[in-house]
Amino acid sequence: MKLNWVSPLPPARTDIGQYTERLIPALTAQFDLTLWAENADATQSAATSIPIRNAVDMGSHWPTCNYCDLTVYQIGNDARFHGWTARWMQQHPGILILHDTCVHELYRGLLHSLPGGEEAYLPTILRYEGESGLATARALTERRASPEEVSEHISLSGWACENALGVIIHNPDEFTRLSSLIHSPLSCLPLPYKSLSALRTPPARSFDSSKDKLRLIVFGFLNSPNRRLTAILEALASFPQRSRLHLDIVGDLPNKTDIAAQASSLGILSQITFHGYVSDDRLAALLDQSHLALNLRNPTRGEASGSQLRIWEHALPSLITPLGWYKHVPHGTAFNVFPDNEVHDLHAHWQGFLSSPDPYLAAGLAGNAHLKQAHSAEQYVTSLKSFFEQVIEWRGHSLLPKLGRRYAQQILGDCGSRPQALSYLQTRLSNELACWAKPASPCV
Amino acid sequence: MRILITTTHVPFVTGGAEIHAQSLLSALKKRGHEAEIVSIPFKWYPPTTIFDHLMACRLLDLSESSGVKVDRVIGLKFPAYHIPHPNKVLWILHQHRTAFDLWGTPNCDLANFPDGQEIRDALDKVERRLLSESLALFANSQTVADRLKKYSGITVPPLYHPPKDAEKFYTVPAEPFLFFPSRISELKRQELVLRALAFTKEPIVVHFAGRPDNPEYGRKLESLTTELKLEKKVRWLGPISDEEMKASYARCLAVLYPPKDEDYGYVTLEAMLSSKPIITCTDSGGPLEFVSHEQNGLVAASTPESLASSLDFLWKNKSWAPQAGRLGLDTYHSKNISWDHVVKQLLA
Repeated sequence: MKLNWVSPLPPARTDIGQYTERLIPALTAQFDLTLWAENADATQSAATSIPIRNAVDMGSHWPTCNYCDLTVYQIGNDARFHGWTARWMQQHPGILILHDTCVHELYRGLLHSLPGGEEAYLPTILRYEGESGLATARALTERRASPEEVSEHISLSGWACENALGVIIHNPDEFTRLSSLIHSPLSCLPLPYKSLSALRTPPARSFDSSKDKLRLIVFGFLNSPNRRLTAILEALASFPQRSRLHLDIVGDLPNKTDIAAQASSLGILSQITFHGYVSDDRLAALLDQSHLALNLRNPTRGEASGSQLRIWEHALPSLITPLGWYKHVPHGTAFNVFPDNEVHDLHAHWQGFLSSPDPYLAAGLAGNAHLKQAHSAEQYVTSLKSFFEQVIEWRGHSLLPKLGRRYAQQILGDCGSRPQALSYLQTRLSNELACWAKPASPCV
Repeated sequence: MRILITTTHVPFVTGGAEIHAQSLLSALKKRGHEAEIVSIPFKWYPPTTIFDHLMACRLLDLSESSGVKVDRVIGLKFPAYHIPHPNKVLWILHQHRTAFDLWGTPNCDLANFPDGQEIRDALDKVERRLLSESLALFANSQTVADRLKKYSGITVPPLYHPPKDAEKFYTVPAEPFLFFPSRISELKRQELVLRALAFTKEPIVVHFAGRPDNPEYGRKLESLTTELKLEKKVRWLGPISDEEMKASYARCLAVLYPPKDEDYGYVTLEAMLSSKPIITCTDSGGPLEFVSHEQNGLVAASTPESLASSLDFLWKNKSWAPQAGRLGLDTYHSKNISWDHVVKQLLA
C-alpha cells in the first residue's frame, strides 16, 4: 500500500512531529511511504532515509497524491504546524488522524487563509456548532470571552472531518461524540509510542524517605494554562515540607518571566530549575533522575498524551488529571489529581511519596509494562493498515453525501419561494443518490 | 418498435461516436422502426460536474413520449447510457475512460484534480451499480469488452458494426502517399507519426485529414512539422468531405492509424473496405482486433523508431500493399460485420 503521510516533523516543536518520527520505522515496514512535511526546515532523523517532500508543494503534485492508495493527514490544534495540512485536506480527501479533537484554535489561526476569511468565522461556527456555538463564538468576536474560554465549548471537529475519508482518534472519550458528527469510518486506536526495540531501558528507581529530596518534573509544551503550572507553584509554596521538594520545568515556556516572578513572590524560586527546551537525550536524563512527573491537563482539548507515554517509558511515577484521555489510563499506572482539589491532592501525593514511595514506584513500573503491551508502534501500524483497507473499500461512497449537500444548497438557492417543488426535488435527488450507494441491482 | 438511442456529445467535437449513433439510427429506420437519437451534452471538469451530468441523465424520463410508450432505449455512451428505462440495452462505446483505463497514464486528466481519486472510486461504484439495470449489455469491440471486464468486473460480448456508408468504399491503383484520417488529438497520435517520419529514410508522404479537438493542439503539430523539417513529407488536409475521404482511402498506398488504445476504430474497417493495408501499433487497441502483422497490415511498437521502420518497409515494398489490402477485405467479410446482425442483437 502506497501512502502519502502529511505531518510536521522535527525540529518543529510539536508532539505530533515526534509521533511521526517515532512511527516511521514501523510505517516503512508495512507501507510504501511518501512523507510530506509541514515545516520547510524538516530534517531526516538518523532513523530513516525516506526523502521528505515539502507539503507546500502538494498542490502542484496531485497526480502523485492521487496515484498513492491513501493520503494520511495529521491534525492538531496549533495553526503553526498544520496550515498546509488544513488547506490540502479540504481539497484532497484522505484519512485524518485527529490528535486534538477540539481544533477551534487551529481554525482561528488559519482563518485569514481560508475561503471567506474572517467573515466566514460565524457562519462556519453556526454550520458546525449550531446556535449555541454561535452564541459562544459571538462572545469572542464581541470580546466578552477569550479564545481559550471559547475553545472549551467549541470543538469544530465537524469542520476538520468534513472531507475525511476516515478518521482516527486516540481518545476513547471522544468516540461517541464524533460518531454522531461524521459520516466516514471512525476508529479509536491507542496512541502509539516507539517500536519496542527502540524503547529506552528505564533506570532502577529507588527513594530514601529519610534523606532524598523529591524531584518533581513538568515537561513538554507549557504555553497553555491547562498545564496547571500556577496551581503547582501554589501547592509547592504551601506544602509543609517544601524544602524536600525540587521542581524541574522543562520545555518551551513563553511566559517564563511571569512564572519566575510568581515563584519568587511565593518564595520558592530556589526550588525550581527552568531548563527551557532541551534535546531528547537531555530530557531523557532529566526524566531518569526525577522521582515524580506532574502531567496535569485541565481542561483538555481531546488530545491523547505523548508525554504520558514518555513518562511510562522511563517507569516514572506520575500524577495526572483524570479528564478526557487521562480518564482511561489504567488503574495503577498513574495517580489522580482532581481538578476541584488540585492543591490538596498534590500535597497528599507528595506527602505519600515522601512517607511511602513504594506504591508510586510500582505505578511507574506498571506504566512501563502497560506501554509495552498497548502502545507499541508495530501494533498501531497494523491497526492502521486494517483501517486503511476498510476506508479504501468505502471510498467513493464518501462523495455521495457531499453531492447531496451541494444539490440541496443549489436547489435551496434557486427554489426558495416554492417549498413543494423544493421538497420534491430534494427527495428525488436523495433517492437517486441512495440508489447509487446500493450494491448492483435494479433500482427503478 | 419505438426506439430511442441515448448518447453523449461534447459540443464542437465530432468523431466516431456521432457517426456510430447516426449509423445505428439509419439502420433501425431502414428496418422499419421508429427511432430517434437523444444526445446529452457533456462536460467533465471540474470532476464533480461528471456527477451533475449523470444526475441530470438519471432524472430524465424516456418511458413514453406524447403519451405513447417508448419500447426500447439503446444506450451508447456515459453518462447518457444511464438514463433509466425498463427496456434498456447498452451497446457501450466506452466508459469515462480517464477514471478507468486511462488512470495512471499521461492522458489521465482526472488525476490532475485534488479530488480525482475520490471521483474515480465513486464512478467505479456508481457504474457497477447502474450498469446492472440493463436488460443486456454489449461492447462495440473486444477492446471495450476487455476494459469492462478488467475495470468493472462485467463480462459482455463484442458487437461489431459496419462503418458509415460501408458499401460505398472502393479501391483504385495506389498513389505514393499514406493516409491518416482522424480527429486530431493526443490519443490519436498524429504526433507519433510526425516523429516517426523524422526517422524515415524513404521519401514517404503522409496526408493527415481531420479537425483538431483543440485548435491549440493543431497549431502545435503544425509547428512540429516545421521544426522537424517535414514540409515535404506532410500534408495537413484539414476536415474533408465524405467523398474526398473515400477517394483518399481508395488512392492511398496504405492507411496509417496508430491511436493509443482505441475503442473500435472505423478507420481500420474503412481501410479494409478500401482494400488497403493498415499500419498500426502494438498498443492501439481496436485496430488490433482486425490487423495481423505482415498479413493485412503492419504492427509496430509505439515508438518513432519502430514506426519509422514499418513505414520504410512499406515504402520500399510497395508491391506488397495490394495483396495485403485484399487480405484486409477478406478479414472484414469474415467477421459478420452487418447491421442486420447488430439490430437483431439489440432488439432481441
